[in-house]
Amino acid sequence: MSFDNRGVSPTTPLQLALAWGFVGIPLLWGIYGTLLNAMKLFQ
Amino acid sequence: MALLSILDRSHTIAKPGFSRWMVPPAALCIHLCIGQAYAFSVFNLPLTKLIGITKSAPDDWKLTDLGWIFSIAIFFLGFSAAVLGRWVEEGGPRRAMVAAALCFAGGFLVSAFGVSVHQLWIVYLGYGVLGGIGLGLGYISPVSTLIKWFPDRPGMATGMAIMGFGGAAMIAAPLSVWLMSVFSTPTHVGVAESFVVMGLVYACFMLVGAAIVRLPAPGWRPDGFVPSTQPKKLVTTNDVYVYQALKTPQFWLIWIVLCVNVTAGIGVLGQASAMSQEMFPGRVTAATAGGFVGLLSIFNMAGRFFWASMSDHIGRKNTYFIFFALGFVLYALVPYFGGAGNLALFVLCFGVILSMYGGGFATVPAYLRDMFGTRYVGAIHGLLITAWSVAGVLGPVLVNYIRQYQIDSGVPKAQAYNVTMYIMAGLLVVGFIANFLIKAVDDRHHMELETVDDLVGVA
Repeated sequence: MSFDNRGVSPTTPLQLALAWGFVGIPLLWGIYGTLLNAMKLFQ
Repeated sequence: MALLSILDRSHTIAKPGFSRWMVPPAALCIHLCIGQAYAFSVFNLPLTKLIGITKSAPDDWKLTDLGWIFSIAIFFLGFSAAVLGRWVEEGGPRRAMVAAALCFAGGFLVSAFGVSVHQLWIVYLGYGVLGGIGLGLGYISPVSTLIKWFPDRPGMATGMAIMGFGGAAMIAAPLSVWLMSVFSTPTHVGVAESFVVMGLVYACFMLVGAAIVRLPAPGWRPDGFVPSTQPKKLVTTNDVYVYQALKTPQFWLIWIVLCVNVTAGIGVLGQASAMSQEMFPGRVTAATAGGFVGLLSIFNMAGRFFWASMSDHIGRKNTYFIFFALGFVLYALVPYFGGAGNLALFVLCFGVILSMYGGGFATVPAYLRDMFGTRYVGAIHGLLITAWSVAGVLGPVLVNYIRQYQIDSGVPKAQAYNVTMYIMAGLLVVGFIANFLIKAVDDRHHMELETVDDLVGVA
């Protein structure tokens, strides 16, 4: 990812996947752990 | 200095072909880090055992003194968002994100030093002041950028970012516990080392967000997006200067709307564990109450995305009408479900309430944009965050003091929250009225076009 703003540089699907994976994976990990813990409430 | 120019607003303008869907992850990089503040309490108990290790020694820090770390951080969140909002808006998102990363991560590093030399004032200064400024800068930095990239769906866009703030504790809490377990020894609790690692990890994560973020080029529009030619009464096409917004009744009415919505939610969130155990004695233990709090966090996070996205379709004013009307009904029903011993409906009630608490945070930037235009929405949002600071004190105080008053008056613990719920329901009526009174901003508050161009290069 360049800081330069000259010229044309289309965003590739790989860049999108990396960016979303970078934030999505930790978030899903956190949600999964929380849901596992929450299940105790109804056991 | 040339190196620092990459942080300038002008160097942040996107090239043709840049996908706007890269911007929400950039915003999430920031919000998923700074939302760690909600999980800071996991450090509280270990911080009371830095000397005694297995139990608190006489010279160890007291829990009451440690509570100030979070309070100072939240105060400086509101303070920095209000004071530095214009600087954030005019300097562009990258400069603000880098500053937020340095402050937030720096706060951890300074605090680690404070812990290692056992000086609490250094921790106040580190996580409280420096980290708090990072929180404020980080919270508002991506908001107006997202609104500019998503003129067709501003609620959804800001909802995605602010959702990260609500979900961050779900990552930070287990991460903190794991790090302390890695660094602890029989003679050491491992908090300082955990602070150092978290500071470095968060700095990297936030700087990635700063590298990715872009502003749209002037005049850019999403493909296929045609701005509505039908004027909407509550959506302006003009801009209001940041400090001019303070002179409008709309700003203060939205301030009340946010303050009331947050007060009602934050009071419950802070007491959720104790409340569930006391309203369902024997059925909800301390361990299962932790699950209840976790479930509320998920509702809080999901509500930020759901309600803010919904507001793009039904309008901001109607969204807040739902919060206040549905919230009123749910708060009034909680004592009934508690009394009937219906745990599932009790949990569902609070889940929906917390979804609307999160939704209130996430919908408000788009509400401000509708009222005051896009140009200074980030800075105006910064000023509005003071409502959160006030609610952060008001909510817990209301819940705690009314509960204590009830118990002192001989009310059984299981029913001690009933009056609080009715008061919260009443509070939502105030929010409903404030929301009802919101009309379009008067034309005299709008910026002249020359003024807009004079102030900064418009993006």
